[in-house]
Amino acid sequence: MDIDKKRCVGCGNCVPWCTMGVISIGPDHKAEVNTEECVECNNCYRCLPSEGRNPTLVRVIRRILRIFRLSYDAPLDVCPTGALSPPDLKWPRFVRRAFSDPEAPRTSAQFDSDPGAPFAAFGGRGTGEIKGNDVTGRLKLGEVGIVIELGRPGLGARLREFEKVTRALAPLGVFFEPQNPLTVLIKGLNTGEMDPLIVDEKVLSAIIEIRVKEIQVKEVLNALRRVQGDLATVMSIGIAARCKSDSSVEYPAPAIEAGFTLSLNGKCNVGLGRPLYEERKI
Amino acid sequence: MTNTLHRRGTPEELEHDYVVKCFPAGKQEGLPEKIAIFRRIASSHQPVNARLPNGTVREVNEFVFDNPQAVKSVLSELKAADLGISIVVSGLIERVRTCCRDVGLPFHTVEHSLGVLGRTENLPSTGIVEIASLCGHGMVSFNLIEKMVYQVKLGRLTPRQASIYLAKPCTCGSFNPARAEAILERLRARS
Repeated sequence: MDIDKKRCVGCGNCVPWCTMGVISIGPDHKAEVNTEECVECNNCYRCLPSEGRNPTLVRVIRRILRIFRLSYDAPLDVCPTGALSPPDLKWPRFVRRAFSDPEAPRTSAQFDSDPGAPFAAFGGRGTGEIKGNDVTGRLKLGEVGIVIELGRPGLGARLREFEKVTRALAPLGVFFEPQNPLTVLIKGLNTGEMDPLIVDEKVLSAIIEIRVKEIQVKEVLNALRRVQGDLATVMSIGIAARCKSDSSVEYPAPAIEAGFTLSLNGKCNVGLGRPLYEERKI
Repeated sequence: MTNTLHRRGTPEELEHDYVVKCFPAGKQEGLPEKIAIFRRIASSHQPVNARLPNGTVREVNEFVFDNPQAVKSVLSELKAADLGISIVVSGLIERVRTCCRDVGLPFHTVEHSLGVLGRTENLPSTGIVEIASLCGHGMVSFNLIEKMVYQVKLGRLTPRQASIYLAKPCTCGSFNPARAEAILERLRARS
């Protein structure tokens, strides 16, 4: 995010909206962004529309009010002078926005600076996962999907943290979901090595999405437990499977054996999509 | 996207937190009309929040409800409408299972959260993380939540007013302002 110091009046409104907590009021009494830690989510820009005030006028009025020990606080969700603006990002920094901003474009338009950038065709942090599984049949009986979202909740993560996890998982023979935008950044699917050009980029969160056989669940979850001590951030883990005819799934037992507790809440595809994958195959 | 998978809270609180979304997978004839019917059905059962994208019809539409009875009614009407669009419900799994059983729908695919590993010591207090978990993309910053808690404690904002501010960054519409309000009430009472 760019903050125009000529326009900023130092009201501090943008500070709490920053998802990474990297906007602060500097010694010059104006807002500044730690660009090294900014994930380009555009949250501040989106949530604080400009009031369109003249910066000089605002500063003069504030000084006058201060003489009388008065102050005027603008509403919490505006930028009085429109000092915020999203920068035009080039590869590889655009990776930050692609994973962190839910409104980021999902086409290659932003990648014109480098048409060879590997995930030009992708956007977002993951895939539809189980949402359309009744139609797509991506997760079949006997398979288990595991989603590992690094940086969530609220801490963010460098892509080198993802590499620690992919390197731990790759030797186990897991299947990295090819439609997942992070998978495209993995240079060696057998080793888990990521594109070195992007490992220092930081994102709000992104998802490693894998498919394994039921028999592998415990081994994979144990690997995640082992690698967690090497991480500088957090990871939220999810597990999914196609239900059997009695609506049950097989993964609770190995997950519990690996020391995990299943949440009481979760996501359920209720099978209303048509044509059902199984019917389509017939 | 793990979106609504990692919502946190006690069973009593989660009792008031359900998300119903439609996901147009595969080829669909007459998709705009089907989406319109989904929206009409879901919006007729008093959702507390919604995402109704204006762009491509293939985007996810979602509605947030604060009670399982509404979810059951929505599912019943969706089953009768037979739109052929994938429907996903997030919430207490046993509660959703009961809703499905009552309207004659089996679970097709299910997903659980296994919690958070790693540097959990860097996370703020439970109430703050609970509110943050209500946004599917994690756009509600810890600092904003803490600021809102502070404003509520000072009496500058009511929990309801604060929950409206907190819902603003959530572009996916899965934020549950009713639950956020209840959590803010709890955090205010704790001061």
